[in-house]
Parts: sequence; C-alpha cells; structure tokens
Amino acid sequence: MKEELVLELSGVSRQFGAVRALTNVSFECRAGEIHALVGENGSGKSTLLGIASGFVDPDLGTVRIGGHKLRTDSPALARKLGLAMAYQETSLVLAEPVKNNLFLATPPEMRPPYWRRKKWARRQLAEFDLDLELFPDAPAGFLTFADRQLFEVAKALATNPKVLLLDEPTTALGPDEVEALHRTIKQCATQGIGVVYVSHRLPEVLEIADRITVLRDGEYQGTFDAHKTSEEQLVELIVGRPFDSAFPHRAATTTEPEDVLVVEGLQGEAFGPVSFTLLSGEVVGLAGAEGNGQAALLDTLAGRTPPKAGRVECVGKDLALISTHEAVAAGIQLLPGDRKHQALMGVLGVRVNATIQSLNKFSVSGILRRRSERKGVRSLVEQLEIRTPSLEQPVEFLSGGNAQKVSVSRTFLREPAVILAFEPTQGVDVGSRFDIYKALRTRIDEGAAMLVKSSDPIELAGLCDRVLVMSRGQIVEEIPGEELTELRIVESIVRGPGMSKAARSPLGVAMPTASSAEGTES
Amino acid sequence: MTTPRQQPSSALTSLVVGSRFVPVYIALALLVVVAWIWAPQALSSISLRAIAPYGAVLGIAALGQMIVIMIGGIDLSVPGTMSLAAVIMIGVGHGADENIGKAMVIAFAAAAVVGLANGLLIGGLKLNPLIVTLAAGSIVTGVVFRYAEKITVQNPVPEGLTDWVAKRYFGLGAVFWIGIAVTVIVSVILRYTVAGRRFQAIGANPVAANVVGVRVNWYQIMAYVFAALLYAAAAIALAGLLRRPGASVGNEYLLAPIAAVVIGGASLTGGLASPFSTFTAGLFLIGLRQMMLTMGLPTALQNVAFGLVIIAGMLVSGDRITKGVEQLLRERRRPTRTEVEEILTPMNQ
Repeated sequence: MKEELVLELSGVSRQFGAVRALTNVSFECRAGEIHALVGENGSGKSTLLGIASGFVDPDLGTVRIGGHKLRTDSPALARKLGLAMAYQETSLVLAEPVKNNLFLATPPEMRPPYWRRKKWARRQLAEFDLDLELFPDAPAGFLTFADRQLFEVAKALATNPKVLLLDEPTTALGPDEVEALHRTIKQCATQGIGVVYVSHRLPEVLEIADRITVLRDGEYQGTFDAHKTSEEQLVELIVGRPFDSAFPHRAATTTEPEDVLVVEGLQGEAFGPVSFTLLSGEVVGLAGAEGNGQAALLDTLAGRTPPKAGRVECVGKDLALISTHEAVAAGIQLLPGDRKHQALMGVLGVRVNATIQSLNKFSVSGILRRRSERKGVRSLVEQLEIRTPSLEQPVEFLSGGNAQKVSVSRTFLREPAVILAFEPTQGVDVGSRFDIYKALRTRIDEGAAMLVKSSDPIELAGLCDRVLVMSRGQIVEEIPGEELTELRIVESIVRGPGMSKAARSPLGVAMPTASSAEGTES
Repeated sequence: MTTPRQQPSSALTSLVVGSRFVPVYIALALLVVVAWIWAPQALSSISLRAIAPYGAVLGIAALGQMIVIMIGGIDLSVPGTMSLAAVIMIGVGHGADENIGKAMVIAFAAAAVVGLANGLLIGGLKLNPLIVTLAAGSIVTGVVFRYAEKITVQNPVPEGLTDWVAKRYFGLGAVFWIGIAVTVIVSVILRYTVAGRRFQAIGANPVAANVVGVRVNWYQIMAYVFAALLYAAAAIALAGLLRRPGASVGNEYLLAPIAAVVIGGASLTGGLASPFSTFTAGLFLIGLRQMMLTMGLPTALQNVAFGLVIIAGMLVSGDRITKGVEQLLRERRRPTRTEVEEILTPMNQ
C-alpha cells in the first residue's frame, strides 16, 4: 500500500513563449503520503500542478494518475482518474451560494437529489472537519478569503479523490485555520489519499510533509525526507545560495522624526474608529487575523473607499480621502497585495508600469521624454534586480517577485511620504523577498513612513519598528519595538478578543468587509 | 529597441506582442492580389482615387471607436452623431461658402455634446456603455430627423467644402491625407504624451490605474468626447464627398468602425490598439466593398460577404493571434543547452 504510486510525472518539460517553465522534472506521490513541493515563485510549481491536473499539456514527458496514463490536455480525465485540486486563486462561483458551489464540484454520481443539497452541504462540510461552519445559502462571494480557501479544499475533497493537489492552501489562513487544515490533510493521508502540498511557508511544510521535493528555475533539485531536513537546508536548496540575514538592517537615524501621517478617529464601513500616527523613517506593522478591517483601513487611507468619519493628515495637509488622485498627490502610495488586478497593467511593459505615477518627472509640458524615462527605469531595474528580458516585457509574463519589484519601483520614482504596503511579499519567492525588503528599507531610510499589513508574523517582526494589532476593525494593542518578536505577535493575535474564529458572525457568514468586496469588484 | 544583448527573449516578446496588429496588413495585401486577378479595374488609379477618401472617412470614424474600445467601452451612437454633424453642415451651411467655418464649429460642438453626455453617463455614473450609447444614438437620430424637417435636407452642403474635398494632393484626395494626419496625431498622443500614457494604463487595467492615482472617470469621459469629435470630422468629410448627404448618412457607420477596430487587432477588453492598423482596416473594408461592387455581386450577397469577412477577421486577429503565435513559438523552438544556461546564470549568481 505504501509503495502504490497515485501520481507519477516523469521527464516533464514545458515552455511558455520564451520562458522555460519546467525542464525534465520527475515527481511522484505515493498513496497515503503528504508530499510537499517547494520552490521560489517562477520555479515551476504551478506549471507542475497544471500538468498533473491536465490543464497544461507538457512538451515532453508523461503523467500517470493511479497508474493510468493521462492524455494531454484533459482535466476531465484527470478528475475521473481520481485527481482533485484546490486552487490558490479559488475557483468558486462567487454569486452562487455555498451549497451550489459544493454541488457543482461533486461528480454527478455522488450528488444528492437537487432539492436536498442544503442539508447535504451542511453535513458534508461538517464531515470534512475543517472547522468550516458555513451557512449553505450564503453566496460564496460573501465569505472571507480564509473561508474561501478552506472551502476550496472542501470542494476538492467532495470528489473523493485518490490524489489531492493543494496549491498554496494557507495564504489567507490564520494560525487556527492552518491547524484545522493540517488536521484534515493528515486524516486524508491516513485514509490512503496521496496529498501534494505546494507552499512557500517552510515551517508549515516541515510540520506536515513526509517528503519534500525542491524545484529551482524549473529544474528538479531532489526529494528529501522531511524529518531529516532543516529549514536552512531547504532555503539553501530553494534559493541556490546561502541565506544569511533575511531582513536588511536599519540605517542609524540622523534626523529628528516628524509626524508624517496623523490618523484620528478614522472610521469606515468595516473598521474604526482608529487613531495612530506614523513618524518619518518608521515602519509600522498591521497585524491581526484575516478580515479584521486591515484591508479596509489601507483602502480608505489610499483614497479607494471614502471614510465615514475621522480626520487624516498627511505631511501637515488635511485629506478628504475621496479619491485616489488626492491621496497620491498628497504623498500616500499604496502597494496592493493583489498585484495582478490592482497594481499592474498586465499587458503593458515594465517601463510603462514603473513610471505611471511619475510621468511628470519624465515629461515637459505633457510631452514624454522617453529617453530619460528609459534611462530612469533601466537604472532602477538594475538597482532592484528586476529579472526581465527587456524594459518592454509585459509585466504579466514576470514572476510574482519581479512583478512586485516593478510595483515597488514606483516608490523610487515618486518618493512618497507614506507607503501603504499590503502583504508586500505575498506570492513572492524567498530570493526576491530580501530584495523587496531592502528596497522598501531604502525608501524608509530616506524619510518615508510605511504601514505594512502582513499575515506573516516573521515578516512583521523583522521589518517593523512597532506593530498595531487589529481586531474587529479596532486597534486592540500596540506592540512596541523592544518586545517585537514573531511569538509576541502571534500571541497577541491569538489571545486578542477577535480571534479569527470569533470574528465570524454566528451564521458563519463574514461581515461584508472590504476584503470580500475587493474580490467581487475586480 | 535597446536591450542587453545576452537576453534572447526580448525580440520574441515583442514579436508575440506585436503580432496582433499584423493580420490587417496581410489582409490588405491579399485583397490587392485578389483584386489584381479577378477585378483588375478595381485597382485602376481612377478607382483608387474614388475609394481612398471613403476609406479614410471610415478610418477616422474607426479611430474614434478605437479610443472608446481602448478604455473598455463601446460606442453605438456613431451613426446618430455622424448624421447630426452632416445635417448641421447642410442646415447651418445654407449652401454658402462663408458659412463653412460656422457650420463646422457647430457640428463639432454638437458632436462633443453627444460625446460628453455619453461620457458622463458611462464614466461618471458607471452605466453600461452598450445600452447608453445605443439610447443616445436613438435620441440623436430623433433630433436629426426633427431638424431635417425644419431645413431642406435635400440641399447640398456649401460648395467650398465639396471643392476642397475634391482637391488632390500627390494623387489622392484631401480627405485621405486628413485621415493619415489624424492617425499620426492619435498615435503621437498615445505614445508621446502623459495623457496618452495614462489613457493606455486605464485601458489595460482600470482598477490599477485608479490605485496609482489616475483620474479614471475623467479620462473615460474625455474618451467619448474625443471620439465624438472624430466622428464629426468623418461626417463633415463625408458630407463634402457626397454633396447631398441627407439625414441618414451615418447609418452605415454602426458596424463598420467596430469591424475596423477588431480587424485592426485591438483587444476588445481594452488597452491594446494600434491607430495605424485600425486606419488600415478602414481602408481594407472599403476596398473590399469596392471590389465586390466591381465584381458585380448583388447587394444582398455583398452584405453577406461583408459580414463573413468581419467574422473571419475576428477569428484571426487580436488576442487569438497573440495566443497562436505564442503557441507556434513554443512548439517550434526548444532552447538549446547554451540558451538554458544563459537564462539560468543571472539567477544563480
């Protein structure tokens, strides 16, 4: 039983345009094992999953599911052979209720009679043991991102699979939910399901996996026993170079810090009232379980959703916050977490994306100086080590880390007073992370203030001077710099009155927060 | 383009990105070959001289439509707006040359008002562009008919306009060169001005454009106004060409400009479009019509053929061609060992 291969990829290669996504990679997953797949973004993990699930056909190589060869380009056959996949960007029909989404995901022969699906859905969800208490009639679009992600896993389980592929299943999850998910996955493995677990959160991977396969730049780096591997070893394999300090050092402050952003009693639909002040040269973290108003607060400060009440002052100027134009002009710059939809113009090139906020700098009375623009962007591409074949490369073809660097490069060209960073390294590979921290740090050392919303406590501890913990839209605690550790932040989130669990309404339907509105808007 | 030499894929990328605008030129070349074989008289200089201005009129109208489509909208009020401008040339012009300037100013102003109304409803109030512009077109057509009753709509436009339109420079009519000039101007605005750049950004991703602080609503409104001005320009030229344009002169310009934009390779979801290939597509469509005419196809059959060509154009242009070229490159070209190493070296340092 232990040796039965439920998923087997041998000698798989695939190329997209000029980009080599995978080069001769072999991968196997036994029944009853949890096999983790790790690597930087752009290392080929997603392509590998795509090939395994039949959505992408390999240029070379074969895929076998449960011993049967997968014809190219046939997701339906893969599903029939017992493969189920939970996608990172969830595949829910947002306008349809939970019960219908689950019904849709279930193979016809396993579906209940149509009129009984509500009761069935509730029973199924309880059975999966994901701590997922959803109201079957709630539209999927009303769920928090965390719940959507867990529900995505539930949908995959509903097909009763032999192989379960999980693509970054914990990006939106809090500590609680990760635990529930891991419990369920382990349960699956004991039942003989082969689980392929793709993640860049190494502690999670080491905790749950039996074996770990590492990919780098589309090439196989080896498969390792999880119990005999350390985090440092893995990082080295992933990055391909020793990894000394993960966070850049702060420069010694020379100037007296000034108030850059003063927020007083600011209140929006999903948060507030909150009051805090950002000083120049300071990085303030925004922690808390997902969906507690952090996203809505940043959106309001960036001028995307008008506030209900309160006062915001940026560099001595009162802001009405009714338009993004006003906020940007005042010196507030948002780096959105959802880069594809909210930060970058995918079809346009690196140059155009980088300079969109600083066109005045590269123009004389409305006419662009393209040469100086190219020069400016080229030096930034070198400084930030953006890996791109040319300045005109459409950013949709860049990996997550490089795309984020393009987004960050805007702060170099415009030099804002306040940077609002929403999950600055979400979906960014380990190697690029440090580059991004370094770039942001450069801005801070030159006098900008930064507010960072992150769900990664290590990132907050490493990057911030102090951390504000939010719960149910309020700031419930401020962790000063000297106490700032990963443990302290997690404790504060977990102990706080609004733990992820309690933050949900009794029906299991999330409040219509900005984070859920975000998903439907784009 | 100046790019570091060791990067092999930049040329490939520009090939993939640029490929969407190529089919229209191929189609035009194909049309010329076909005409040369079956209807050589369509290629005579007289024939070309006769159709070039009409191609340019369609090209100018298509450029307006292109601007709207670039920001993810669509404009179905083109026929109404064009008829309006043409009728104003008759009504205000009174057949007298001294009125030409006044009539043109009023025609442009009236078109701008229609565009502004469209823009405010779509960019400002976020109504559906399809329905808004269709409704606006209906209103404007109503206004045109009412206005046509008050004036003698069968009258010609001022002779000065007709004369000027008939003038030839370098063998082709003035309208054609105006079309070329408009194309160049639109290209320059899109490529070399701050406004054009912001405009492109909105087309590519309105949400992100808003995040970075571009006034998306304002640019959307201006797109409809600018487009309406181009329709008016096309209509004035058309009025001059036809001499007696009548009140329903714009009716043919509902589908044709959209077809030209599509065949010109624009992305219907916004962002990508090329003024030159759009203008060329306008010439192509008129050329096609002319060829069918010379070949003696009955009108009914012409319409069918015209529709088929538009659908065929959609099949081989825009997003599909980009995907197709990418696919071809993937299957034809496996990187050599050295190339793989070249790509990997900067990553491993």
